[in-house]
Amino acid sequence: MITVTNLSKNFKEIPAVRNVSFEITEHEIVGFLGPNGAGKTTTMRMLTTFIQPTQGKISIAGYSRDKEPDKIRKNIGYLPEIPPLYPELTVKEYLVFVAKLRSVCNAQLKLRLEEVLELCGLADFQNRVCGVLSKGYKQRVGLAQAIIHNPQVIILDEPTSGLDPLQIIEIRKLIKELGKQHTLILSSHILQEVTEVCSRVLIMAQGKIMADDQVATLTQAKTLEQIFIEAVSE
Amino acid sequence: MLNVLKKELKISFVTPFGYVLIAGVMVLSGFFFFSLLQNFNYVSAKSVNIMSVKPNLNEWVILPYYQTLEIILIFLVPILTMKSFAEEKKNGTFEMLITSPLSIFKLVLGKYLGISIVAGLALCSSFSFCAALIYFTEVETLPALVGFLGLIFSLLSFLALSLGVASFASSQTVAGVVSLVTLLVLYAIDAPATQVNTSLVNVLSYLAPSTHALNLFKGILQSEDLIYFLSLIALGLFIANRSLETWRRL
Ligand SMILES: Nc1ncnc2c1ncn2[C@@H]1O[C@H](COP(=O)(O)OP(=O)(O)OP(=O)(O)O)[C@@H](O)[C@H]1O
Ligand SMILES: [Mg+2]
Repeated sequence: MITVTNLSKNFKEIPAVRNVSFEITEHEIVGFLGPNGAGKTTTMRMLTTFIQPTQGKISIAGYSRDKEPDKIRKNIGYLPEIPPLYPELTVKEYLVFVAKLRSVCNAQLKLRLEEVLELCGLADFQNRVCGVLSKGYKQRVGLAQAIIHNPQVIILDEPTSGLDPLQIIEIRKLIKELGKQHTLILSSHILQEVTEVCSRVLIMAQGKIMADDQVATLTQAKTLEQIFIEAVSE
Repeated sequence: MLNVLKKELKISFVTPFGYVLIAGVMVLSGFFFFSLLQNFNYVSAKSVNIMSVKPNLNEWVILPYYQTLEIILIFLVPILTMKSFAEEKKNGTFEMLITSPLSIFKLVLGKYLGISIVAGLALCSSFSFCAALIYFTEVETLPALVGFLGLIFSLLSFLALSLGVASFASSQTVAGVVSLVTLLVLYAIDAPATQVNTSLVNVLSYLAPSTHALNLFKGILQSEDLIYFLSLIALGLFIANRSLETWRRL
């Protein structure tokens, strides 16, 4: 589903991602782990075509980033680090806007909207203005806009940051649910979250991949915490 | 494209922004309009005694009124365009738009039309004074309308250029200041040429939007002036398109 080969990104002279390669198959839930500044967001931004790699190849759903970026854009849903919202629009207005942007056809729009509002627990909030929502609900709207068009690949940058424990549990449940039908990449700082939600983990540090394996295999001998600390301090 | 346009209009009119803008333009233009009218009354009362020719309203009220509005536009337009991309970046929606299949050109066009409609409505409110004059006095209607067309074209080209400038900036303040400077320089570009007497004069005065707007304000409708404004619009939109394209260089 996703193939990345020798991917690098330099900002001016500073390398943020160095020669990263990995492959993700369908219906995997992959967790990106790593300390601050490891290059998780940068990698995700390259996958979503927001920024251009300095070097390397990306192919998603069979389309090459260099040749058919628009095909890739159609097939991904993306929740950036800051949930994208127009504070002036209501939740419903905003989701309709994104759905049309993502060319969800009018016949499906209403049904899809209801589904997504229900799925993200936003049904009672659909007529609220986005600007006044609490952080957790903004995050939910961000998530809703990422899945409204039912994309094959969903990329979530720290989906549970800033949420209260209850909301975290709910969002994790939602992510697991989504993982059944979609290929999912998420980044996180919470190790326990990755063990719970993800089938596979990629540990990044200083722009490089330090570990890449199934969560079950990795955590047989040691805890994820030990593995993380070892990988990062290498 | 229509989707972006609709969103822009919605945001302008669910907030007080659109209404404040229209009311503001109306108050400001009303102030200048009535001062000019006052001035006209004074001059025509005097001219009854001194000259036999009666000053006409087109020349003494409508023309300077349009010229004043043109200057107001220079200050108004940067305020309208400065938030167009900076706000998207702040909201995080820029990342969402760029990673969606929407083409950059449709994004730029949608934004441009959205701002144009809001600003156009505000500008039309300032025409209401001229309309009253046309209705109640013997002002020549056609030149007054052609003149207003000149204002609309000035507005549209200022907006496009300003949007082009705003597409580079990630802060509202920078976008606003740079747009304002750009428009002021363009407006005054023929000023240094008045003393020198070379072909440079022609070039500079051709470049100044006021030269072309003045023809229209006087009621002269020529294709070359329209072509000038249309090329400014195209230039502005082209710049905005290019600068955003560099974000998603294929
Ligand atoms: N636009 C940019 N210009 C310059 N440097 C950048 C830019 N974006 C990211 N960087 C640098 O690239 C490196 C990786 O940043 P990135 O945001 O990918 O880290 P991260 O793993 O997402 O960290 P965090 O966990 O804090 O979100 C950092 O050193 C950062 O300073
Ligand atoms: Mg990050």
